[in-house]
Amino acid sequence: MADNKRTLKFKIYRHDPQDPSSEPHYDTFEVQDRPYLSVYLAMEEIQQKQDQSLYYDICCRSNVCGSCAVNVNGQPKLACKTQMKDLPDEVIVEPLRYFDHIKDVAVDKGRWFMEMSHRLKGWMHTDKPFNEKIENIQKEDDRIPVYEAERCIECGICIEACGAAHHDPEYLGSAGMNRAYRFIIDTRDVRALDEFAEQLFTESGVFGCEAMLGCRNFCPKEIPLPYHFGILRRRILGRILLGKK
Amino acid sequence: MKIFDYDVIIIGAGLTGERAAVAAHEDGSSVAIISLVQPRQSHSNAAQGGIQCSLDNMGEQSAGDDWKLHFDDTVRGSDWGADQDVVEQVTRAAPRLIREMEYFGCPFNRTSDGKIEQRNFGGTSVWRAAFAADFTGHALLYAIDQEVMRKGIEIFWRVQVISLILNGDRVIGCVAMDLRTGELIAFHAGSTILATGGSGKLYSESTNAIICRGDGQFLAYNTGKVPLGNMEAVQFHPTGMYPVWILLTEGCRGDGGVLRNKDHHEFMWDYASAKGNLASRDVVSRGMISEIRAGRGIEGDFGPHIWLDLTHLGRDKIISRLRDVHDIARDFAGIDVVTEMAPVKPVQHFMMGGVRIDIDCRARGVEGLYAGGECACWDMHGFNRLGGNSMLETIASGYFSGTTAAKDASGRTSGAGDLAAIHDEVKKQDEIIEELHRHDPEQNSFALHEEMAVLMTENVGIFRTGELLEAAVEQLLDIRARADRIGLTHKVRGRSLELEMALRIPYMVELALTIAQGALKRTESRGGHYREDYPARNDDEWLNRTLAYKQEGDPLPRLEYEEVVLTHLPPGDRGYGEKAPPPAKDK
Ligand SMILES: Cc1cc2nc3c(=O)[nH]c(=O)nc-3n(C[C@H](O)[C@H](O)[C@H](O)COP(=O)(O)OP(=O)(O)OC[C@H]3O[C@@H](n4cnc5c(N)ncnc54)[C@H](O)[C@@H]3O)c2cc1C
Ligand code: SF4
Ligand code: FES
Repeated sequence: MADNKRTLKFKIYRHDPQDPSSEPHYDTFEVQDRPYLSVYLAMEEIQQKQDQSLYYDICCRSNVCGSCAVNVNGQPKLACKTQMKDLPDEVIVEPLRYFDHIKDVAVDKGRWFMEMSHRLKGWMHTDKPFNEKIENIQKEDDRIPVYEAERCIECGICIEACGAAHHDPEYLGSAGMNRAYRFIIDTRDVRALDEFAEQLFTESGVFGCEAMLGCRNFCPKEIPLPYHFGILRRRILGRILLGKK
Repeated sequence: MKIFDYDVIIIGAGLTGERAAVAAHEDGSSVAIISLVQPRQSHSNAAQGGIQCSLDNMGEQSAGDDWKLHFDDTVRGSDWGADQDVVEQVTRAAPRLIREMEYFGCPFNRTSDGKIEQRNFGGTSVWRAAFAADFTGHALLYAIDQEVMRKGIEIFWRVQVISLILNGDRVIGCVAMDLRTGELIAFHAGSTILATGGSGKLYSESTNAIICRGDGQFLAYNTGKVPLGNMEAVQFHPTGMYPVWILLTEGCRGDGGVLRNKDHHEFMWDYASAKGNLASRDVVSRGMISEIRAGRGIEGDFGPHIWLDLTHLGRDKIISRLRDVHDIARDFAGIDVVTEMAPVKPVQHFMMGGVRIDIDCRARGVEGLYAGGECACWDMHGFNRLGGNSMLETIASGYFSGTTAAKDASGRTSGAGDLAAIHDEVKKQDEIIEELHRHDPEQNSFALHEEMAVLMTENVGIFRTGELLEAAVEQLLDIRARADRIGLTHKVRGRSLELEMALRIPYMVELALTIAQGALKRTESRGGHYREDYPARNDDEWLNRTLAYKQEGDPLPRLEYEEVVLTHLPPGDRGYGEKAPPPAKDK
């Protein structure tokens, strides 16, 4: 609980890979607990008042931009959303291991997510010209699942939490599959399932999932990822085994 | 040193920057986007409630809507501070521009006949805000980013632009710090567009992201040639969630939520008899603070607050339309809005002021510079922006600035002396960084920032007086003087939050000074600028826009004034039934 008398210990991973004299190690900092304290707010206090060289990523501080993901006591989480009242007195903060390390607990996810979108041609494909007088007509029931998948904030947590992703660097991962699903089910996108074959009908696509469910357990937007893959897998198996469109 | 060459460079990858990039690229220009963060992390993604456009898709609820009604609402909202030619251009273009975002893939909520659904918002006469639940900014940003990817537009991210390069009166690019390596790099361009977003971090209580620090505004201001318009026009949003100051969208009230005081009375009708909870934001914020001052706020550990009540909406409506509000309240304050009221208080939210641009988005005072979105003063918002009009401004100013910048760039060739100007500016910036390394760390830039931001919240807030503002100016000047003594505790060039902040803080304080000084001199009340010592709007003397210019060797701006453009709607009553707030007795 938010006990203001608690003195919290933060063991934070420190390493600057671009500085040849830097060795990976942990530094420990103490922060007084207070109401509404999150892992992000604690790191901010440490960086501003104790050690200005600490490097971490932060942007929206409200679970919408995805930039602040770190490992907290071994589990991938958003630093801004993770509240200290839910955690023990000692906390270990480490960077996501899967992505390009920048320094300390900051990593760069941009390259991975942009490559993923390019692999999937993650933009609308339509044969209709734009009509400024009337929008595409879409049933609300057809839109809802698109929106549900679109809520992904590209935080990288599902990739970090995924055993298959760590084995196979080509694996599209939950975020990638979720993005493919978003276009496949969108009634406005004209692409046939086959157009995704190269990316999805493979072991680095839907057949790479080892059903360990790390993605579902940690996704901060609570996107029903296994359900989305289930639909994708069913449609793809239907296509391959039964020749369905 | 690396020098990159493009026809058009765009500083900022939010909705404005990316829409501008798509427009410039379509005009055949070579284009690059520069951003602190990868595009999809830009703060546009945090916009929740909706985007205004007169589609008239809602039957009776939107009956009779057209650009003109949207225009009227916008001008009334602005308290006649807006340029009406700009408002007309934007409200006319809005339906096309928003339908285009749908065409790019934005999953807007749909009506029963499959059209884009629209919801009610503050200060509007009909239901006009198109939305994707309460994650509209995210959905729009991903849609436009998809177009940027389709076109293969180049993106430089984890890069902080630290100055513009001038050759005479012409902006020819910018100097930036690569945040991965610390290296300085230069961009040489025919046209440079500023799309850096808001500067909410000038205030300690703000809904803005950590990266909303006003960079684009001071980049332009630092040229000494480009004025900032109406910096005193600051918007405070009624429903910042207490005490973490994360926004709960105006869509909460648009969809039926209400504000209550400690006796659970729905007090807004006492302050705005015609619009109540959905009066414009400046009116609602004043109403809430007046309730608190009258002792009818709810006491809490972080000062008094007001209740936002959604409990009568029911779980289904909340989960389907206000899902993120639900999650934010649960995750950040431990509140279930389905069954409990949420504590809220007005906090800084949006800057109406910014880089002064003309109707085609060209910056005033120099050639080659453009701006759009929240960092600019176009000026479609005047002294109060309507909810949902900011995202419209991002898309519209993105489109217009990108188009103008590309056209202008095609007629420009490298000037004599460009290369020398680039090298000079890089050298100057390098010297500034070296100087920070040489200094002893007498002053901590984060401590200075906090001091400034708390002062701004306390003295340059919703209710302003000459006395508070004079004290603010004096203290800001003192903070500015101390900012010259910033040094670095860690002498490194890259991957340093300390350095990133040290390079900004003197200029952030100067922006704060443009706000405080502008507010001090404007002896009237208009929209979000409310002077308790001058409580009435004064059209005889103040129907104008403040222009703040940086002065050589003086941290205070030089202020000039220009007339606002009036075309269709002469100054009159705003139509909210607003009663003047009671004078402060027991603050
Ligand atoms: C919580 C919240 C909710 C909102 N809800 C709504 C709403 O419902 N409807 C509405 O109309 N408006 C809303 N707004 C307002 C609106 O979202 C913003 O005004 C708008 O999105 C700003 O967009 P932008 O493109 O100007 O800037 P941003 O999206 O903030 O982008 C700024 C870009 O500039 C870059 N940048 C900044 N400085 C530098 C630098 N020095 N070097 C390089 N790059 C730099 C950043 O990396 C970023 O890419 C909301 C705002 C907030 C804070
Ligand atoms: S699916 Fe969830 S966990 Fe994965 S990147 Fe998106 S938001 Fe993060
Ligand atoms: S900072 Fe944006 S999700 Fe945490």
